[in-house]
Amino acid sequence: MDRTAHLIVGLMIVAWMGSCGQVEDILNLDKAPRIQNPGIVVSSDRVMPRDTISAHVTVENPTENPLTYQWTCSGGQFIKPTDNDSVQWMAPVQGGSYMIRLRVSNEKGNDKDNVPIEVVSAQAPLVDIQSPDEGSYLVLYGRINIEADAFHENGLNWVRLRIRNDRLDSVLTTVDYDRTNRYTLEAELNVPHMVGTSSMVVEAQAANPLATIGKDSINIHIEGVVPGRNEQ
Amino acid sequence: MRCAIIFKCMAAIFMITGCGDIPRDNVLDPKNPDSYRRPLILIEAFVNSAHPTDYNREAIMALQNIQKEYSDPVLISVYHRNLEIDGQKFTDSLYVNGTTSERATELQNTYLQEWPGSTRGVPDIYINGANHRIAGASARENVMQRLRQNIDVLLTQKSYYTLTAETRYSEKNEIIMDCRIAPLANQKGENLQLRVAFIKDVDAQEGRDAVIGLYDAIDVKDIKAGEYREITLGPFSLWQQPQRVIITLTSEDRKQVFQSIREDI
Repeated sequence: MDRTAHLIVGLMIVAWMGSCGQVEDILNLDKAPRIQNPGIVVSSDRVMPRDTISAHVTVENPTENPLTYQWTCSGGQFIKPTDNDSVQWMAPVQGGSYMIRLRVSNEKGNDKDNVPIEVVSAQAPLVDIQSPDEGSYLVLYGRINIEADAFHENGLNWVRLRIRNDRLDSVLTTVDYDRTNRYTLEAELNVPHMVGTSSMVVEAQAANPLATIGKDSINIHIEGVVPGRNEQ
Repeated sequence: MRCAIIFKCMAAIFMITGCGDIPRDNVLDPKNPDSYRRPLILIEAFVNSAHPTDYNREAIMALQNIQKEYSDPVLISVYHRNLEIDGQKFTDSLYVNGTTSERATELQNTYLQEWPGSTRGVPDIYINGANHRIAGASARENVMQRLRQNIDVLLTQKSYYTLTAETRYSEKNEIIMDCRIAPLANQKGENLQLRVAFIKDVDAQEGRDAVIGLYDAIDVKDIKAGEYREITLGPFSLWQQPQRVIITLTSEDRKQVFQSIREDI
């Protein structure tokens, strides 16, 4: 009797312990890997095209089992091996913003992180004046609206309008980067030296350390007018 | 003899019947639905030749060149205006004071209503009314280029009014003009006005085509389709003898020019 009772109690304890393990598996609360702060650490988050940077991460692994690292990126490429907590990433030729992502997992779960990398583009911003048309006639003391497309992979610091001829080189207006590609620049043609044929130049500066300037220009004719009311 | 009478009667009957079948394909026939006239292009320029900048002189010279280039289809009238800028007066030697000046100012203001927000000043040139404008000038070639662009377009359009005038003098040596106006294309003419500008070439340079007398807002009563109206304008008494007159048929608001003619006096 005593032996049988001990056996039953022993089996119940084993069953109870076994069932606890399944619950723990289902909840999986403590066993998934955890990426430690500050997440992915890169050697530089702003690089030149074709530069190589290293990315490293510290992961806490609550299990005895090995971790699986899956490094992915939105551009550029990794230098093998990539199945570790450190990786080498080579920037693409084309500038812009790229993302390095990590998914680390074990048999109990996974954790994710990502880090943005800006690749500096040495190219000048693209600028394209949409209006007015080449050879347009404008009037002195009148207000003008210039529509221009401006874009750079690293964004723009500013877009500005310049009037230039053999007597004058004047910046009329500057607008800040507004995250759109189409810019409207308003200005007043209020300098008599503008009269005649001038170049209307729209310039844009890249928002990166190189600060390259791209431009587009058209020829315009600014016609002189004597303002004022007629005397009766 | 009897046969001859019968023959004549029959011929007359044939003729009358035939008249009813005459096709109205003459482009000058007001009842022809396709009738039209070749347009004449009226250029009205507001200038001040006293200001030291070259803008107005270049515009005036461009007008003269355009007149030579296009000749008859282009009619030019130049309104010389006095200007006052920040208290400083620029008095044009060809300025005509009195009602002519007031009417010229009103005319430019009327035209400017079609160009809200634009700079008011001189030179300011309008072609066949308010819709075609050349404001400002830098070089005469630029003005000519812009004028050509407008004139060439307008010359391709048809005018659906015919306007004729005969000039005579009264016993007091006043100018009288007998005008005849007809809407074409078998359409009626409504809400029409006439404008009369007396022109003089004061000198061969900046004084060409100067307006020395302006009369406008002369009502033309409605004209039925296929009919014409005769109007006697005047008598006009001017302080100096004009060389020609430009008569313009306009819309009631004076912004649209339908037809113009030039008559030497």
